[in-house]
Amino acid sequence: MMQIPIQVDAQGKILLGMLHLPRRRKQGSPLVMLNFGLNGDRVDNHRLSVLFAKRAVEAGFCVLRFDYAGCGLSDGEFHKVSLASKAADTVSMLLFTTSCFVDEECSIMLLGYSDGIRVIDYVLRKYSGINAVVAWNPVVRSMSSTFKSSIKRKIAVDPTTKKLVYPLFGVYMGLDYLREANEDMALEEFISRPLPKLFVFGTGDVHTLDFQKQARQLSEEDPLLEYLEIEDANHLFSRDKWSKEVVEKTISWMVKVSL
Amino acid sequence: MCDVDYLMSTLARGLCQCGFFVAQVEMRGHGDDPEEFTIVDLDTLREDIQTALAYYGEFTIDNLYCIGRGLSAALLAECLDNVRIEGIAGIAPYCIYPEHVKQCLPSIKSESVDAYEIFTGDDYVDHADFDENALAVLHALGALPYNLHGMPISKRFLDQLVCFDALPALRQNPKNNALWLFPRVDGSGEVETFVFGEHRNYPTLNRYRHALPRNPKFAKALLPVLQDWLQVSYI
Repeated sequence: MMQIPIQVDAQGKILLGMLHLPRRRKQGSPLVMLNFGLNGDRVDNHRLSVLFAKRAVEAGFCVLRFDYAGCGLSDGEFHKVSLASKAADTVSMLLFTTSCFVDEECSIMLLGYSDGIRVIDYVLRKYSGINAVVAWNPVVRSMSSTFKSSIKRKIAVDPTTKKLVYPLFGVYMGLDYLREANEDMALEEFISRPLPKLFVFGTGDVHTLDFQKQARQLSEEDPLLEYLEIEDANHLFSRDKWSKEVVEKTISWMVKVSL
Repeated sequence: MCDVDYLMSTLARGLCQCGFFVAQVEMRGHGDDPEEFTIVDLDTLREDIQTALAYYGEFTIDNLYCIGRGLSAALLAECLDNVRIEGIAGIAPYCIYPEHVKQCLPSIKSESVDAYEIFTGDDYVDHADFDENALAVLHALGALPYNLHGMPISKRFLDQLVCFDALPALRQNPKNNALWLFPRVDGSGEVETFVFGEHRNYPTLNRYRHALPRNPKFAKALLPVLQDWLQVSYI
């Protein structure tokens, strides 16, 4: 496996990413790009993205993990992050990465984790070259109950910018992003897009429980939408066996739709 | 290079903007490294720190400063014997009385175990169902449960941890122009300087319960403290 750090200037900010390539790559190998959720990063919790990249490369895929502006190693502050800024960063990384393959026509898959599906929804409106979408524990309903449950973390004033912010696990979240997170995603438009989609849910994920039943019904009506479950898994797939299972099931599906 | 709160990368960018050359070092089995976490133990961490110190020591010649967080701060302090540096700063450096660690960590028989089996609990927001002392040990290492659960940890690492006494190395470091910083235990997000003097013993476990503050003010407050320390030391 080759692992190449990349650095892209996107709207004046340096974004950092890691491109994984199989040691022996077929021309036109599919490229999978990871869109982490909320305040994650290119490595993500318990290094799930690294595990995924390693296994996907073994299966012949190219994988790009990157940090949005304001997250991880990339430039910027988290309080300025919004779904729109994440989508713009994704498109910048896509344009750069696909240009690395010059004349090759490779299919592109986006893998969104948690509210990463909302970023993908934005990207699909702006960029037409996406061939398939995977969503792990997709959060499509309002996340207001998630935020309301944390009474200790109330709206605060950022001492540096003096702007209103929401303290979230050691970082300040901007109110624009909080507002977006508290709205439902326009699911119909997303589902109606004519491209293969995979939803993977942990059956123990409290953040998506109210959507799982509807997603299963949608998959029964739509041959382009597949629904998979990881028994008992929580939102972060935070057990060794759950993370391996979500990775293996996803790669099997990716192989199937790539053929 | 993947703190849950982006603390170290935020500090790196902040210090870089002040004119310092900053390198962040990825240890084996961490971050982007393709190796699994099971290969990590105190020996691999020490080796990686020594490799980085040797490389940057040669590269920077006489103005090398080191900043660590949690366990890496304590291991850095240990590794400075044969390296010339101008200063070491530690953010909530790991320093727990080994007997306390032993009481918190279950003994395991298999070669590795999911971190969930050691630091048990499911409430990632308020940590209400976690053992307070085990959580303090985890924070002292520099990790949060939701970031670590799902990663297999080696028995060797845990066995070494219950014997690891960081206090002597942290005590020795006034000669290395040391600065040890903790967030205040009142949750205000303010920064407090800590001295591991001759008569000072281990920080309390309570101090480590607040070692990974949810309050982002801590990151904001930390940067000017480190800038002042570096500028005063450098001039």
